[in-house]
Amino acid sequence: MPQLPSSVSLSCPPLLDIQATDEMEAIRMTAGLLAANPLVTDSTAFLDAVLERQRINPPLLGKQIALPHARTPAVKDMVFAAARSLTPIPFGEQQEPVQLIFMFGVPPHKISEYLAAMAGLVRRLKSPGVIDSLLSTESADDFSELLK
Amino acid sequence: MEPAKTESLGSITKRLVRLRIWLSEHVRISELQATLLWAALIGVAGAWSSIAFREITDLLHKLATGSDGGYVESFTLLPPWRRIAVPAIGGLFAGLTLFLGTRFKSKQNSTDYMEAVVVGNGNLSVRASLVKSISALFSGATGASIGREGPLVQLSSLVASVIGQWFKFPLARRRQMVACGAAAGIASAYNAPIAGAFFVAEIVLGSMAMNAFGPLVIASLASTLTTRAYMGSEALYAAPIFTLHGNRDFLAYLALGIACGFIAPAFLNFLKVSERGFSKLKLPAYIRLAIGGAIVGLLAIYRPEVCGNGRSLVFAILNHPGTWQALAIVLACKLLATGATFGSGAVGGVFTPTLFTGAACGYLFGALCTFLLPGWGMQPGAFGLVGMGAFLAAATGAPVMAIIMIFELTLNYEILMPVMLAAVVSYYICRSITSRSLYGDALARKGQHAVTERLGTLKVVDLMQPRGDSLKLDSSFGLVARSFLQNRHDFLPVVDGDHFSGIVLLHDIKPYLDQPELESLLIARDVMREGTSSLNAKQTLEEALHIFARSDTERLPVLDDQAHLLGSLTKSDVLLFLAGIPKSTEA
Repeated sequence: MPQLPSSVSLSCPPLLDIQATDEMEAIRMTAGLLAANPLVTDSTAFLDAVLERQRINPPLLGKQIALPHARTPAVKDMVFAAARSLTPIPFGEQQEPVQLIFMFGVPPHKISEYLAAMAGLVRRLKSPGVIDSLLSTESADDFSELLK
Repeated sequence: MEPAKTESLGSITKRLVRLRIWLSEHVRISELQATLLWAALIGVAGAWSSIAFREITDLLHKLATGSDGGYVESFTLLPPWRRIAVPAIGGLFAGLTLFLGTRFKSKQNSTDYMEAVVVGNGNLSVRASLVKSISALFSGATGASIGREGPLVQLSSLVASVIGQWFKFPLARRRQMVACGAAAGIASAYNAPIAGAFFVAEIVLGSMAMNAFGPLVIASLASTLTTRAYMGSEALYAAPIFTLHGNRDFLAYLALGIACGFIAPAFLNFLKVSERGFSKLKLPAYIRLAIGGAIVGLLAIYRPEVCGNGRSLVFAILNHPGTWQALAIVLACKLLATGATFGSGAVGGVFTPTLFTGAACGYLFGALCTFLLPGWGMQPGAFGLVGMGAFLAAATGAPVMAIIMIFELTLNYEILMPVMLAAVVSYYICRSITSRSLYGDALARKGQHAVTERLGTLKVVDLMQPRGDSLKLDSSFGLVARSFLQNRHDFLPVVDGDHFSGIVLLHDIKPYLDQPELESLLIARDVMREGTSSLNAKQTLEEALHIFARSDTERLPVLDDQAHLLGSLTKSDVLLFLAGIPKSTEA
């Protein structure tokens, strides 16, 4: 399995089996995981930035995966959170079903790290069986382990 | 903009992008290097325009005189009345061409190649340049005592200007291209690639800065090689082997340099007086040029050697000079003929007549030296060679070019040191007497003051390339990659509407171009750098250079006061431009 860059490590334990009614709520809940993180200097501004980016073009990978992200000065360093929904939530104009949400917050100057993290995560998710394992695992620790 | 999801980066495109990145890293072609490629093209095109002009001149000469030999030879064969009629009628046609041509003269474009390089926007008027070249064709073919380098340089510069306009080069590069055209013209005219580059650098640009000089060298070289392929590679003035007998010879050449330093200002003054004399007549161009031609014809009855640019005379001095008395008479007649032709306003150059004057003065000085110092074993012909260089250095105000030109014209290495000494001494003496030079006059007439004034007011907006490819904030990662493939810039500007938002650097994204999944996840805004250096359209070029020095990048976006993206400017263009600013005190 390809190694993930060191920058892609969950900043907080994943939130499994959330019950959100729509895309916005799912994103709010995932962003909420990072609210208390010391690297997030302004959690409201961070959430606003993610939602704004989401409005322009929701980043969807297919296979029930969404990668909401934002480059914003509201974070001091890169932060990464993950959430899993119990049931598929429709995302974007196409109402694409999403169960796995991986959220990045990136300071404006960290373009290379941002790209490396995004590319690394995508490579990991493409590895055989990883998505199925992420969807089926019962434990947050196992979920985190799959992303290391 | 299409939604990002629908953009897909095909495998061929990806390979092309990777090849493009590989090339940009391993075979890095900067703006300046691209200029070298254009310079080579202009060198070849300029050479062909020169060859065509020469062939047409020779054809017309044969039609006018019935002989396809040299000017002196063909005029010697003519009866006296035709010796007058041919140059007079030639002058009439040359003048009529100018007279009619000025009616079509463009007000916006320059017709003088030096003015175009120094002050203008690099846009030579095609029609006006052709009118001048056709006029020069009539004068040159019918025996006017004037050089051909003028029209050759004009045509070659015109070709360069047309290429520059055709491909919409920015201002600085258009000017540089015209300078390359001029260098190609000189190189082709004299089979002198080094001197061609130095001629333009020293006289036209007034700068040896490598940014400006490199392309001139390439254009000169390409032009010479092309000309040689067509016409052969012999030295223009093959001379007997020049030998130094000892260091004391340098004393004699030093004295020759001093003499040339005093004679050159008189020669320049004589040309000026001739010009003023004709202009006082207040005659239309065709009458003036016909009179000028008739004077040459009258002199030709006595001495047919006065006809033409004087190339065969220089050759004769170096190889079969005859008596000094005969040479003195020919020199006097030739000076009168050159004064009549140049003064009447004929289009052409005075380069070869200047070479002849220098060679003749040098020879006569040498004859005096050998008379006074018979034991030194020196040959007057050697003084002729050194005199050419010394006189050329003083008259043109370009000693480096003169030294190299003499070496290239004769392909004789031994001559270099004596010419170096005599040329530099002659140059300094001439400059202490007059600040005027052969080509400086042309520039002064075209308004040196206006040149300096205009250069001082030029802003970033005058030199920038208009806005080309740009990205929108929501452009997909796939589109970003394709845009980099379609142009060879290292960054692309990102706009929000018309407002500049930032830039995407190829360097930032290149490791991730082979990941198709990222296409649907990222947009230009995600990978854009904000707060990077940019230029304001109203900034001066000096200010721009300071910003370039701080930003460590070859190209910067240009914005207006409201942060609208207007275009971009490269550091090379600013450097090329600044290198092309003429000296303020003399041309």
